[in-house]
Amino acid sequence: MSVATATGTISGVLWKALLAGGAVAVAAGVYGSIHDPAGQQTISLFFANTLSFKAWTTTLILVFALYQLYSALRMWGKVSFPREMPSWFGDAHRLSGTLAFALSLPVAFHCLWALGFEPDFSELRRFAHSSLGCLFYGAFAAKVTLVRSPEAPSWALPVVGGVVFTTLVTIWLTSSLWFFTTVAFPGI
Amino acid sequence: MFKRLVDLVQILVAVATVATVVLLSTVSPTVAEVESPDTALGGDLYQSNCAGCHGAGGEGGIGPALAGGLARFELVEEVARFVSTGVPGRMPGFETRLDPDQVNAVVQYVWADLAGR
Repeated sequence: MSVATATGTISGVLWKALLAGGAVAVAAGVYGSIHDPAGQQTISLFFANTLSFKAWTTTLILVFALYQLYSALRMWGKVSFPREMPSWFGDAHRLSGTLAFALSLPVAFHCLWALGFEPDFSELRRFAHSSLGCLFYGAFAAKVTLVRSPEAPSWALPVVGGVVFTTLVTIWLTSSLWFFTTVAFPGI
Repeated sequence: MFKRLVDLVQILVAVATVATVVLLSTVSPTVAEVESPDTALGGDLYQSNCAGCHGAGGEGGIGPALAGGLARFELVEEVARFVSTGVPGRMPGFETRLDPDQVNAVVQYVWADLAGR
């Protein structure tokens, strides 16, 4: 399926990615809006509380995301180190993304289940964090759709990957950095 | 070998993702059983219902600090009303999760032990 636009065509795989991403983002936002927030702690492991666990876990996710960015740039030939790519390089990229996503699950669970979606624009940090959290999972779903679609245009994956990375950085800024600078550091 | 390991991790994460979605739609907030509205009970209720946002010692977090605070309230009854009804979009109301004795216990704990009023 392709749809004519002013600049050309949008292929079926792009529609698929857009629909998958949109569905996931909207579903997360709707759940966060209609679910009565529990206001309770969930997992905290060895941290003092769930907030501290989330702040540090999101920081670890950011580290994985930075590796994702670097390894993607190397695979696309935008950086030249290492000069010879080891055979495991692509799988390491996949593994770092998978681990980052896995670590995000307990964080997102607490955000959605215990806190919910902040619809009030005047609460800018929480509004931005809520919106970007939904966008992150939407963009991630779109990226997974695209990465498994060899017929996708070459620009699509870097663009969606860039959206995933950018939203993640902004999510970290509006949560972990806020926590470390206004609540507690290290807060363990 | 490494590729197979990554494939396996991806399958496990996919299962974990499904489990997370299922948990989101099935897990209910826990409500402690109450026998009497004493401070120890209030502390337990605070830790299970309030500490997630206001911090284990009332130091604040997502929600404002309570320790040494609550200056906006003159009466403990105002705090109880506030806790019961909540503020849409900012703090959940607890009247559907805690009975009046439980609300009273947690408010007494916050008022006396955390805010020192």
